[in-house]
Amino acid sequence: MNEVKIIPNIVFKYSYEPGFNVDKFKEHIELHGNKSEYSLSEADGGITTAGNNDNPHFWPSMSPFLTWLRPKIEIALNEWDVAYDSWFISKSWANLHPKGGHTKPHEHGPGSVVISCYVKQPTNGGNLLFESLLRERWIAYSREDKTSNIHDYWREVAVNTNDVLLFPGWVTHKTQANETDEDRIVFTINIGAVIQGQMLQQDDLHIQERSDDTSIPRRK
Amino acid sequence: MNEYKFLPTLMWKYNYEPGFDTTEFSKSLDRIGVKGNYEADGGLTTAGMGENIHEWPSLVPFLNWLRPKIEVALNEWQVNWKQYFITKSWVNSHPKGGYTRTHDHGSTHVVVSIYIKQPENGGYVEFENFMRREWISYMRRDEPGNMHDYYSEVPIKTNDVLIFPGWMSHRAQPSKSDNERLVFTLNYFAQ
Repeated sequence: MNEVKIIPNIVFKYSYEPGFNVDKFKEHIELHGNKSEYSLSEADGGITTAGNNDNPHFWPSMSPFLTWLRPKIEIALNEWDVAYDSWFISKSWANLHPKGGHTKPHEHGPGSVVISCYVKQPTNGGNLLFESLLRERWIAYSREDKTSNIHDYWREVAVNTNDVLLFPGWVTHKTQANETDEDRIVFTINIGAVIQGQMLQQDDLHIQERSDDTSIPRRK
Repeated sequence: MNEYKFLPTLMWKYNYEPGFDTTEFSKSLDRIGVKGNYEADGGLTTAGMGENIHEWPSLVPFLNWLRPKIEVALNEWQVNWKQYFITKSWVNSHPKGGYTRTHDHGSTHVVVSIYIKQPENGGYVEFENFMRREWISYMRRDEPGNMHDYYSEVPIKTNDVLIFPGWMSHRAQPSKSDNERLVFTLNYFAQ
């Protein structure tokens, strides 16, 4: 093996063979879904339950999946040299994309492991696209004009029902539009990892409420 | 295998078993070696001094051995190429304490660093962790050489051949050996 691993592996892809309860997710989306006109990331009919208190990871039926997932999270954290003694789910939600629906480019903020689970992924339901990391480094090289190669702006990751992708929260990503008449349903989990002894507890924090009288006056 | 290959392989390390006769390299350094912009604390280089080492007939077997490895890199990086050529080559020497400062090879497409004489404790090569900033918001393990550090070390031994893109900043650790370290480098351009 002559390849020198100079950077860690960034994306992991698994398949959760038992699959997910699609009907339960549909009920959840029906109850709590925000349509795209109210969502920053969803578009053209996409619906999300992000920001709702009924986080799917709380459902007792998700326990076997979370148990299956646990070592995979630790593989990612260890691969990324993260110092942690504990990790936690900060939130979870579901997105639904009818025909034409898609998720716009976004990230998941600092310090997180993102888990995207393809609860229902119809054929031609649209794949996941990651922004091409390091693309600008290759500008000096004559490029092959092919989509999704390292010279392109986006890298497509083919996804199937029950696929589970793990990646860091800083990687910008979006989805292709669903081209089928069947809905696509994606369940997403955000994970944080910490060393508990190094974190201040709630009682130790000196929290200041935001005030509105400290802004710098605008120049005329 | 659940690792999704999101980025291409950036670096390869081979070992050229026949090795090199270092005599001619040393003579070249004696003849035209200078401190240059990047060598420090006794380091010398023949870079930019008008002699291209790869033109020596004695290096033909090595260059033939190297050829498919250059193509592996160009193809891995999805470069649109029909031909490639060596733009320049040179040799660096480091006595005890000598090293090469951080630098990159500009628009060079493929860099080949060949450790023709690497004494024990001769110092390794270090590559700048170009993705370090992406991981700032993660709690870091304070261990040297991991991805939260500023540099990653690549261990090397005599006759190792490293291939990497010209945009990767790198430097040499100071040699701690009483024996000289000699590194022969080639720059390739593809079109």
